[in-house]
Amino acid sequence: MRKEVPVSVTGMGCVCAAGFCLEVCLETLASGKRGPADPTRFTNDHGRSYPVFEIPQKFFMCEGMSDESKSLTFRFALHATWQALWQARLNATHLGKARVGVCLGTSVGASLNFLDFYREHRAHTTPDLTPIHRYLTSNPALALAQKLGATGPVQTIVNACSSGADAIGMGAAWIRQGLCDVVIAGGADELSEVTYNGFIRLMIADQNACKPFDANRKGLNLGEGAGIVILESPAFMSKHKACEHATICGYGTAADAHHLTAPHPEGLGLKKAIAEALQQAGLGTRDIAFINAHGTGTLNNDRAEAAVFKELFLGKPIVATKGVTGHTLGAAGAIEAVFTIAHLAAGKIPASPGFERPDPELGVAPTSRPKTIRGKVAMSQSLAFGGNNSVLIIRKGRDV
Amino acid sequence: MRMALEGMGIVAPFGNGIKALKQAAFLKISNESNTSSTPATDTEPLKKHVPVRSLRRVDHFTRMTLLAAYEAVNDAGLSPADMKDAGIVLATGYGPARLTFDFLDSIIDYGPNMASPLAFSHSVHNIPAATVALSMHINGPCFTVSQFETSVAAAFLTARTWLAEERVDRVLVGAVDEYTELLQKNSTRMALELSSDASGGRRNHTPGEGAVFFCLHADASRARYGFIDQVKVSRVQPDRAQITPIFFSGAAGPRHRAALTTTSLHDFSNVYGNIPTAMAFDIALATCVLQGVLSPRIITPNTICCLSRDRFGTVGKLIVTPQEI
Repeated sequence: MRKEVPVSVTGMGCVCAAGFCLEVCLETLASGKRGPADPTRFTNDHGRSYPVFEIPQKFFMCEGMSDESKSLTFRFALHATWQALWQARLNATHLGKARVGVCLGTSVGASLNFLDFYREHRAHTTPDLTPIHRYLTSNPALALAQKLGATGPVQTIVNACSSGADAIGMGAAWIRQGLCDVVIAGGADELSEVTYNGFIRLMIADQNACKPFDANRKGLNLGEGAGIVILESPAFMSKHKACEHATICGYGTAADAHHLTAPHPEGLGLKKAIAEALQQAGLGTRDIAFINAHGTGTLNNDRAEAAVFKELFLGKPIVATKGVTGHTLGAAGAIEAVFTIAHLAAGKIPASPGFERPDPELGVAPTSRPKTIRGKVAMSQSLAFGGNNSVLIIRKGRDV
Repeated sequence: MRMALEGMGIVAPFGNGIKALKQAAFLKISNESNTSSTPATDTEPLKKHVPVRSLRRVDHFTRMTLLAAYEAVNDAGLSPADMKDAGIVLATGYGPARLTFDFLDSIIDYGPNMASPLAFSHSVHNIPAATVALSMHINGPCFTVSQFETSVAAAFLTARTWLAEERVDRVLVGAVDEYTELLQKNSTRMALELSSDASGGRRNHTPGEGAVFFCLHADASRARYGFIDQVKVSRVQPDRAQITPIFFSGAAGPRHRAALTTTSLHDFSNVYGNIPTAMAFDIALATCVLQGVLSPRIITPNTICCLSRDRFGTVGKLIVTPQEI
């Protein structure tokens, strides 16, 4: 893996249960307030609570968000994109003059999760095709590129929980390789009855609010939302006086090849992904000011991450934010990349929501109170089903 | 960035391997057979590559994936040990559909409390690619892309990006989709909603299934089947081709098709069936045509352009060139 030039991030957008925009999400993170609850858009038939971080119904009253012909995943992605473009000071005229790529990660957003439709099909009735039409017209990257009239490369990545980070890593490569001037990169996902039941049946869903890295952690809470970054080439940035909020200076991704649903206990693939990302950035572990952990709150995930932190990053500050967002699957890596950029800009990281008591077995702990950060480089990592491990190295931008 | 085609693996209802593809194309081009009503792909030969015991819980989609991947590696004269740091990119239009419906079946039949966790976890789109990584002990990057008819071009774009940045030297690019009864029913119902023009010529074809894998290398000297010279996935409509023949798949009525070329446009949907990953079969067939080994010779070009268009107006484009160029 050779060293590559960093790619500028000029805008960011975010929507999740913690807030409909980045500023509110950061306030929620800082306050530590969280209130996961049973889902409202479908029923919980498990006889006990399995809370989720659902985006409140009032979100769908926001402009353009009530279009039921499109999936929630697409609408979340569109909402976060509008925020990111606004921050990047890019309007339709700018986009019309640029080669704009769209690279989005998702999981539920590309899945055939039509439970009600399927139930009717099984009952030998002729179900209304609306859910099928919605699925066929809502593929996140294709639909977003169509909506914006984007003329660059288009890609929907479905690498489960690392999809959002992978989309940003791929988008940065497109800019470096001159495939486009601007890339809208990130991830989006919605809560679904199917994945909800799936995670509960895998026995990795917590019956209370999740507690990443805590000694009493019992699993994850699902969430939903989208995170988007705008990546730009230096030439295009100079045309509209863009601000650089951060740079993506390294990206690594590697497979554990160990187990389909559990990470390698010593983080074999994760260490490889970290090494690649640092190599691409031309940096070492000592340069990392803080780490955004994947931190789902499951026993296995947190154990694998902790093993790597202990070996490579002992004493480095770690933050885990799924305690206020839930696990947003294909959106998680992107939402957390956006948070990481914001934390670098602010020079501090918040307490990790849900974390109270260190787990002696892990030997590392995330922040339990806000912490000032002095360095300029952070690392955000995502682990996924299938043994995928993806790592972004992010540097504070020159204009923040 | 030119990508050398080192090996290919093909698994499909018309038979497995390049020979079966050529034979099927020959018969269909000569109008000597029709697309079968229910495609059934034979994955038994997978037992040559992996222990039977390890296949007990492996679904049909993943079996097709594994078999095509192993065949591509073999065809390239390699073994899984040579693939340790390779990349994997899997393209799929719909993902493991049967397993997804198995999970829904288990919710409906037994209730959410007793739904199958295995069906759920293995129906996640990236599990088939991860199974290839696990089976061959590959620790390189492992991606799955899912965007209907442009999935294949997007997968090749990923491979090209990785090779160009020297993330890997070699990439296994695959394309897989499977037939389900529900897909057949929905396709029929949706085709009836479309005019013949808007259906893009697919309304009369049964949904297909199958898997195609390509072993790609950055080193041109590794080419056994020629090269992929250009990859694009965008909403910009390609220039109207003057000479290069087009192998076309996907959604486009006569108007869109006419805009693509002044010469010859070949649609082999009657060979593969209506399948979003048809472009992968087109690429494999293009290499046969360029090597002059497809009989009868439908064309004798220097390069072949494979195009696939989706309903969003995004077009995937690849140029396949033979070894001599």
